Amino acid sequence: MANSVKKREFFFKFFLAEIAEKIVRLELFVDDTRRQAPKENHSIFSIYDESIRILKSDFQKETGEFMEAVRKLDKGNSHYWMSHLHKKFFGRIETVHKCFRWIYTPWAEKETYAFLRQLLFESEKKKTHIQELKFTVVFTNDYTFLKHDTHKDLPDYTDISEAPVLALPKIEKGNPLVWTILVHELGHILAEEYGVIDRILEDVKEEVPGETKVRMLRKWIAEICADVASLQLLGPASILPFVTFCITLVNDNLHQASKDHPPPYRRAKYLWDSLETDIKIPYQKLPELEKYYSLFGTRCDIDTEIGYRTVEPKDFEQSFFPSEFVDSVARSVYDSWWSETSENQNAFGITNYETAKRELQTKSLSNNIPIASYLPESASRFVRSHAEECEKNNRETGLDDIYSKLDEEPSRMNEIINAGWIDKSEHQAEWLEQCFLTRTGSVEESFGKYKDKLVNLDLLLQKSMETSLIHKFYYQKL
Amino acid sequence: MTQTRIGRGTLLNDVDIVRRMVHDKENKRIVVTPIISMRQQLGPNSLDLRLGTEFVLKERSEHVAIDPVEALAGASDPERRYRRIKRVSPLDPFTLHTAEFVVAQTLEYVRLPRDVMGLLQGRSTWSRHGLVVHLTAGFIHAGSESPIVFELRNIGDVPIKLYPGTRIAQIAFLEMSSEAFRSYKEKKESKYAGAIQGSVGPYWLDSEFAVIRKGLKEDSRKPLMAPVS
Repeated sequence: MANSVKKREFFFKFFLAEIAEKIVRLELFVDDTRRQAPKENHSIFSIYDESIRILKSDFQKETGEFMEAVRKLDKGNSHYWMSHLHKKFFGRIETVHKCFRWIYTPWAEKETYAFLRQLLFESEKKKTHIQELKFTVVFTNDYTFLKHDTHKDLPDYTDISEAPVLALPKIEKGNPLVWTILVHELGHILAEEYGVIDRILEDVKEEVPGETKVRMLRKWIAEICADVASLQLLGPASILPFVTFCITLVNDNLHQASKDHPPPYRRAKYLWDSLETDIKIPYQKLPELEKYYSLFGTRCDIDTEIGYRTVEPKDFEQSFFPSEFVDSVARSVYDSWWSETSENQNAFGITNYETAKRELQTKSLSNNIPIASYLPESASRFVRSHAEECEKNNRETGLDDIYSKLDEEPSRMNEIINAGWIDKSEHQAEWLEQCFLTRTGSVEESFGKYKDKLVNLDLLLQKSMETSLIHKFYYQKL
Repeated sequence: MTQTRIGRGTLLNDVDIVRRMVHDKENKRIVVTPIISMRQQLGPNSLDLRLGTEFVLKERSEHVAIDPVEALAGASDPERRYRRIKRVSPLDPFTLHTAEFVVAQTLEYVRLPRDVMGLLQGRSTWSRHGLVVHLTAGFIHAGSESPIVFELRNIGDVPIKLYPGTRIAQIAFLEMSSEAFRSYKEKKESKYAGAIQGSVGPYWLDSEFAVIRKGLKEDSRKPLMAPVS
């Protein structure tokens, strides 16, 4: 019982931390846009400033009330709290975000493209033209992520290869950890390129009654394809943002499907299973994975406690498909994807994910050091022990060889982003505690401190990505 | 706090620079990352540093003068509206025209322990073409941890194309008489401690200007050097 309450407490602290982050990002976007706006356009910003100020003040009050209630969290009131927090904050955050349609829409920075292209470049893809795929990154006013083929809006335009846009919410413009969700959207383009969707659909459509259901199944297969494509490129960093999105922004039951998407619960299950069977990283092996697995489990538990909202198996089958059928189709998608798209079945590029390199990168990030490059501790030890010897024996050429051991190796893009997720998972609870739960300052001071921590991590990751690209450009060529 | 006497104002040679970079105690390490080619970058008594991707330019046409006292009256970052950041890549260089002044930063992140300070200088390769790297503030304080931000000015006769990742400056390391009692990042007034992004100097934060501003607001007929009693 105590363990269950503790899990719930952790779950809701995570929820609160995510709310605080969204509020901070709203403010960052407004400030950034205001700075770039000519003075004549400034009057509109007062409505956003006031909305954000009220959100902040409500958040401060809510954390206080929540901390009073946290010890009494149980099956009865967890769902109340979740719905309450969702309605009181995420709903309003989305409303403010939609209102950004009246102000400036930025263009994506080079870094976002560099991140996506470098991921493709570093993956071992059988089709090398994948690296030349054309797409444009744009920003939406709705808090949503999507891939859209713009040629469908302009039927006179015929070159569909130039047309896809990948969209993310405006406030996530500078947040590399959330750019990972764009990789799922990029996965839709990859899925079309590899032709996996239609091949799998061809194999199974006989079992599906009616054209409507076949069209629905095609969409579901496309989503599962995009999931595995993202997993292949990012590894764990593809699952953690998906889980975060499901927990915080999907207000409905996670077992609930739609005509466009399989149930989030099932999609997450396929990802966790593939992480273990195809990439050989069971979630129990790494603390950040275990944390998010537990958070997701808690969310699902809260959903199923509200019995009347659970989709009954027979309803699911009538409206959608039998569960076993969906599982079997998903398995085909995953198997096909791994065998058809990569030279190395196990490749998301990071082998021995749990080794010293990952630890060193995570430690560096914690110490505020960008992780563009990597030098194993063994190299430092080698240089320490051999440098003195060379100097003593006056072996100049020996010294040169020793020094070259200090040449660092550029970090891969997925290593950087995974280290970023690990850092966030390790420190998020502590940041919430320091900034909001210990109550030492005003609302503005609390949010200011939280903003500093988030922005610092954003900048560290961006700096790491940018520098690693430069390093790769010169690596082993000098 | 016990003061430990380590060095006596020694300029580190190549072997000692490397020794400090691989020191077994982390808090004694000089951190410079990334090192792309140690053989190329390590000199007899300095380490070459590479040019980063970010350049800070000023929009001069609206900027009448830098007035640190007036700046305090306005927004928290009064220079922001005059500032423009340009980011380039190795294949897309930055052209520094004659007489142009920009603020740039190193590709490398540099962290110095409490008993080592850095001295930043340009490289003669470029100074001979009129490229001035850092104007007056070449001290990198003990305990600093950030990319090194420096000024660039072209006092030569022709524009110069600057490519990120190329070696633009060098840093020499001085072991101090003993560890600093208070490192740069521990000093309350430190403006740049831990900064990941470069910035132009926030001169308005120097506390003297608040005093001046207050003095100007008070009775202006009171002579500046009036006796206290």
